[in-house]
Amino acid sequence: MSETTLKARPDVPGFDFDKGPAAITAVLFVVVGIAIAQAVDLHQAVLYGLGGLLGISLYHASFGFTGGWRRFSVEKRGRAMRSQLLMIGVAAAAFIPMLALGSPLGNPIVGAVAPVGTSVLVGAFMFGLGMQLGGGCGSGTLFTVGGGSARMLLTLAFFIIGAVIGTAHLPMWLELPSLPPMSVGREFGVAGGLAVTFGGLALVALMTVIVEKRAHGSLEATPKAPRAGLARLFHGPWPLVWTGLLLAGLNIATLLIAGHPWSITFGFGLWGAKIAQGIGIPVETWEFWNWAGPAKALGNSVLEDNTSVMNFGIVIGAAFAAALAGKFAPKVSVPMASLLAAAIGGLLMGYGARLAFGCNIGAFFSGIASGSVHGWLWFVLAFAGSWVGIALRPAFGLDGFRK
Amino acid sequence: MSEKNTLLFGAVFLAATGAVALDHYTHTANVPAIANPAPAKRPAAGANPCAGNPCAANPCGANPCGANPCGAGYNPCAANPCGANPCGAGYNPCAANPCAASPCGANPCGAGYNPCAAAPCSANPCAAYNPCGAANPCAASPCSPCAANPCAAYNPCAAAPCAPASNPCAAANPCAAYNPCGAVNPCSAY
Repeated sequence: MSETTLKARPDVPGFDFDKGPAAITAVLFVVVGIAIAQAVDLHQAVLYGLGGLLGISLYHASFGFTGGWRRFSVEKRGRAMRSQLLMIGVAAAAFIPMLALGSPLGNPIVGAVAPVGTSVLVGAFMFGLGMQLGGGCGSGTLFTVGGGSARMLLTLAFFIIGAVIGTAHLPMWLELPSLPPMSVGREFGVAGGLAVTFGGLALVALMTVIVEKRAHGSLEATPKAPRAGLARLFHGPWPLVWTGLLLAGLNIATLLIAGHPWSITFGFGLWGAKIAQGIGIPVETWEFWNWAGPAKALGNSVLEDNTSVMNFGIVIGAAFAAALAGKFAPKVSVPMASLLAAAIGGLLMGYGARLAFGCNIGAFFSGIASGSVHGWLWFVLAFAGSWVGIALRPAFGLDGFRK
Repeated sequence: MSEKNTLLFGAVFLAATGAVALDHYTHTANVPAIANPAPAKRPAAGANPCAGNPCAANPCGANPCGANPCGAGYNPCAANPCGANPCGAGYNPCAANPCAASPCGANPCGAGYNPCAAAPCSANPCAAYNPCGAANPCAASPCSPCAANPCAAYNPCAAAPCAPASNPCAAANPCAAYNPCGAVNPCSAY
């Protein structure tokens, strides 16, 4: 593969990138965008473009929730978690006032607010456990697949299967005890909702600081970047904090353009349902797929589904970023035990996300930013599940609490 | 980049592209492509082309539909329209797009608001997040016309929901933004 070297400044190292894959993924990204605009409309193409930016950002910063949570649980280092909390706080600062307005730009918008019930308790725990076995969360699975990870391809396949099974069972889970959807913005007003959300996020951040200082004496310094300027922009790694702020901005843009916040896993369930239909499984007779929204999505082209086109953008955007970083598709051979963990993790995440009204993006990021109480419940239970998942990882030959 | 991985991802990409193309073709091929379509029949001024149909001002009144055009799920025409309650989890009439892909994840109305209940607004959770703005679907007269219509082309609350300009019964269904009946034309029987 031909490689090209770019030097930003004479005094800093440049970087090599895979010219062929970079060109192919760049062309592919544009062609798919044009195809979506032609097949559906410009609105869908813009959402796809937003997905592409999300994919590039996630890949270049390695902005995964799974690794950040594991690092805090195992190494007592909370830098990644604090970046996530900052990202959610910035998004909340825009979401909660805009949701109170209802239609800030003329088009009505709606937040990721969902019931607070048994299904969220169980689903979030399953998701947290699954993401440690699968090696990535909703967004992590997509951007690592885009980066060429064969193992994550398997996780994604089972994520999709789990999501479809979740759609079969969700109506049954919703029969169990639940409180109605609760939003702090609605309960306490905009100022009160922001205060509660910021206070909650700050409290969790403070806890990570206390734990890290107790374990290490001081907070971890931001590592010095090996590159600067354009070389860093194209090759990475991007700084976590700035990437978190960028992701918050892209989620705000998603809310304004799509009318709802960024979400990922509904698309997985939809893809699985369409595949299931294709092989003769009558998912259209299932209760979930007869609810108005899912029924419409199932009856329409997948390109008309906002979540799906954004997911496509994330994968191709991450592939482009990986090619720029010269890291696309590093290896294909993975131990069988690790593949088994990927499959189990994918199933748990797919099923759990459906029960919990979303994943780390739809429920945790977008949920808390929307002021939804279910987002906080999701966080607590998913973190508990993640803890158990880390403990189980050694059974599959993966790093656990001990290396 | 290993050759094995290139082959794997190439195959997956081709399969995914083929599946998306097939899905798109399948779901857009349902709309008949007519080279020279006959002009749509326009109703006489003042006439309601959908008389006795589920698009009338009170779709949940009497049951005007002999056969249920809406399939399972939400049937405003059924004798008991709330037998299968669309508001349970998946259907959010207050959302920007009530037919959005993931209405459960973003349902501000939740269990509290049920348009099919005898007293749909006994507890009005929609007040704070009312996409209708001036017109509140949870108000005492939820079917009064919305000042700001969140339903775009199809407004079941409008005085003349089947006006030619926004006729959900047209051959090409303009109800994309808010169509509780999906692709099925509820007025085809009439």
